[in-house]
Amino acid sequence: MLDPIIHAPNRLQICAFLAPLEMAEFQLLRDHLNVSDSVLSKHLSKLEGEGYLKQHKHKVGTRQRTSLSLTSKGRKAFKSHIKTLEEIISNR
Amino acid sequence: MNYHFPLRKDSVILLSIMEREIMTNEEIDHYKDALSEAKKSEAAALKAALPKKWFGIAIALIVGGLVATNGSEYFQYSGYLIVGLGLVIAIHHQQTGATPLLTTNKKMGISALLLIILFFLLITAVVRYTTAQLGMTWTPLLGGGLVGAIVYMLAKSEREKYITIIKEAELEINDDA
Repeated sequence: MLDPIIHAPNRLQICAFLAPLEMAEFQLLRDHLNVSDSVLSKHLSKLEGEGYLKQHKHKVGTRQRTSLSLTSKGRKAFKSHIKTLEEIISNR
Repeated sequence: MNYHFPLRKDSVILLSIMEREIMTNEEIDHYKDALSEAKKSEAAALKAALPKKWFGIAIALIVGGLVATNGSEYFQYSGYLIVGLGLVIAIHHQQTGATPLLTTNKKMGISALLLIILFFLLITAVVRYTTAQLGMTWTPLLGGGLVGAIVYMLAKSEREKYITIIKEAELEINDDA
């Protein structure tokens, strides 16, 4: 079944980007999506609230950095979402 | 963004579309675009996380050096190499900003790591024995070289595996387009 939390365009891209990775830096994802920090933060909070994503804040020198990773629940939900999308397309 | 989200925020509408037998071409196109965007993002993530060439070489040299120093009279220098290993990993991570997922199966990942550590310890023990008991002072270099070569081959094959996945993803995206 399609997951409405994941299906929103930016959130689908966030999940797809994080799916093959152990973790990615916030900046890398922001640059890939070409969105502002606040827009990305909003989507990340939504995914985090659903238990699909984990944010880990850490310091590199004087800079605060945020690492992002999908949880196992998030990975399962994304996999199932993609499978459903493929089924919809292949059945038509 | 190439596609829009026509389903509004209400998941009930999403479900009703799923339950309907007939979908409009517009809806099908929407799903195709969504899938294509997802594939593009996966390929972009793999590209970003692709280990650099220098990384494999540096790791191989350091791990090979660890075996060589541990098996020889210079074992007190192995601490520097361990610090170097940590530094190389940190610098590489800072350059890429992403870490590839090695395995989704945690048990398999831990088993593989344990096997590598065991192999490393075994070679070190053999090198120490041959040096101390048999007086073969050249074995630390041979053991270090052997382990270094194995680590390099592993790093190289891992990098090639990622390149293949990226190429396949790009081919799939081009086919869909």
